[in-house]
Amino acid sequence: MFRFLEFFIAYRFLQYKLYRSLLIVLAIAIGIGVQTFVGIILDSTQANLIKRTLGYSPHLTIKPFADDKINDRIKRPEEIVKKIIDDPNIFNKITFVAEGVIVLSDFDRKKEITGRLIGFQDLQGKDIFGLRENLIAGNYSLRNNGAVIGYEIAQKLDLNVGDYFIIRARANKFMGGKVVGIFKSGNQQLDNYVVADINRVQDILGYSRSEFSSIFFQINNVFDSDKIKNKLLVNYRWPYELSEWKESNQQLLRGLAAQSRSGFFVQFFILISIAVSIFSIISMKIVEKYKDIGVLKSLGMQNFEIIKIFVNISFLLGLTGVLLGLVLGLGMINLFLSLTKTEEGLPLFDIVVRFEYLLLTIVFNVLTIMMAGYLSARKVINIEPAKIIIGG
Amino acid sequence: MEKIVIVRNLVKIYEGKVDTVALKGINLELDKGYVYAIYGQSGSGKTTLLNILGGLDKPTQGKIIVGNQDITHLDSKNLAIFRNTKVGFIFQFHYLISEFTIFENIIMPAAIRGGKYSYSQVKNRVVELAKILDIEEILGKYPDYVSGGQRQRAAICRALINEPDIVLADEPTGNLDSENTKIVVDLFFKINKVKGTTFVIVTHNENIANQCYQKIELRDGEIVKIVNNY
Repeated sequence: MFRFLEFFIAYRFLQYKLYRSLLIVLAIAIGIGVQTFVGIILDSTQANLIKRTLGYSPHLTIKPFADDKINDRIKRPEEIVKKIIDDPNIFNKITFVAEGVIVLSDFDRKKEITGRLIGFQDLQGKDIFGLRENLIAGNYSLRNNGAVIGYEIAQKLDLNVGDYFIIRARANKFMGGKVVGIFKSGNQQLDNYVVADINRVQDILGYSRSEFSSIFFQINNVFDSDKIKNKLLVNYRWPYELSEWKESNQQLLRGLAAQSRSGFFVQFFILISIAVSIFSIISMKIVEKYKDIGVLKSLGMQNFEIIKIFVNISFLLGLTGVLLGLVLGLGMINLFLSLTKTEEGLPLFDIVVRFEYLLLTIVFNVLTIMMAGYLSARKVINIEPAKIIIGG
Repeated sequence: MEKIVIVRNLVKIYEGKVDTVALKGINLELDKGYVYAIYGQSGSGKTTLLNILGGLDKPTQGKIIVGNQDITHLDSKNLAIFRNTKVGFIFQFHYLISEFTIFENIIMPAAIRGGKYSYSQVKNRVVELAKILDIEEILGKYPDYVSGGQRQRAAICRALINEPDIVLADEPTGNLDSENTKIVVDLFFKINKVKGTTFVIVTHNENIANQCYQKIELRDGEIVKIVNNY
């Protein structure tokens, strides 16, 4: 006769004295809001840290072995990568690189410094070093002898956009160039680079068009670099050296891992404290309904049916509270962003909101709240109806 | 005569810091189709006996057969089914659920089990009972907005909705004034006469007890006297 009787009863129990139910929803929402806010901030600081430290550098590199005189440059790199680029979930940037040490001087040769000349052939058209984003003057047009120079070089040689310079590479090969742009990445090594058209770089280094110094890869999950390296070494026998960022950045790795772990524990304990609070709130709701449970049992309701009522109550309260909490949390993020800006009026750091995180928050918290309802109801359902009605 | 209740050596002990023996070996047989009174002072064990007969509590010892069903060792699932289909229970306090209308409270036992009736059949039965009990006009109201007497009459309707074999009423008029007491007691006898439903009424009101077919007197957990009034 009534297919969803337990849900109907649960709904009515919540509807009666609605303000109490709304207070419970609000309490859940505040807890979830805090959890969401903290979770997104932790995620974002981690992502920003990774972006700033690893976002503009290769995660995996293929290059010739230092003492290999035969394979001293990478020939036909497209043959190497064509087998491994099929998985976009792993590799999101692949760049063929030609680079070498140079001596750089201003056009009048008043000053001379050592730097590195580099040219890129991005397979996906993506700028692995983020140079375009970090331009502080000029543009990135490398045609007609144009070059983009790092901030350190600009400072040392007192070069500005429009100035000319001279490059001397090994075997006394010379190249002239015009500064079309200046970038500042904040990475001292990178800021000592001169970026020029890949063909010009290959010419001055004595490479043919199919020869390069190295292949740079960026992967989606930086922490998987060692696993990916091992898989590539097993599957392919290249005559080149394959290295990954963790090998030469142990301190950075430790720092990132510590940040990640502490973030996890912070979120975990927030989750536990919220779950315990919600458990108490739901238990109080069940105590309120003690006598009604006894009456329903006396009318013939079975234990599992009574549990269903309270799981439904928890579900309704939980889903409403969690959704409201997510809105609250995102609102808190917006407030945080508006209150914390740099001198230029930009956000302190980029906020990363992952859809999977929000979905996980909803699912985990609603299930936790439903479990609270189930466990609270279990305590009372095995008591005889007479004891509940008279003793409750 | 068909027996509706058979009780053999029923003992109930409440365990606690000090164990309380509420029933000390009750033996009882009730015939179908009559109105019985279980009479006695407070603490005599009347409510305990009624709760056990209704499957609301479990005995410590003994055997209980209600409506040809041995309920002594039924599991919780089957006891729930028994409570829903065989027994109608009326408490001293109405115990209507505030979140539901009078109508919804009355049909709750039918809704719980579904049973052999459709919604329209149940609705018709509610209207029929409401007419007998004179609560037609309050069916759409919530319990908090009707009088005590009307609530108790609604609770009686609820107890009768599944056409149980036996109705157990624990001090059903305990919270009512004399006018409503008379209305309720008259109704029990009317339904008994019309439907043949067996009633077992726990009461400490001697007037009510003397109107019943049989008055079973309890004292200190034992049956001390059984009087056939007619």
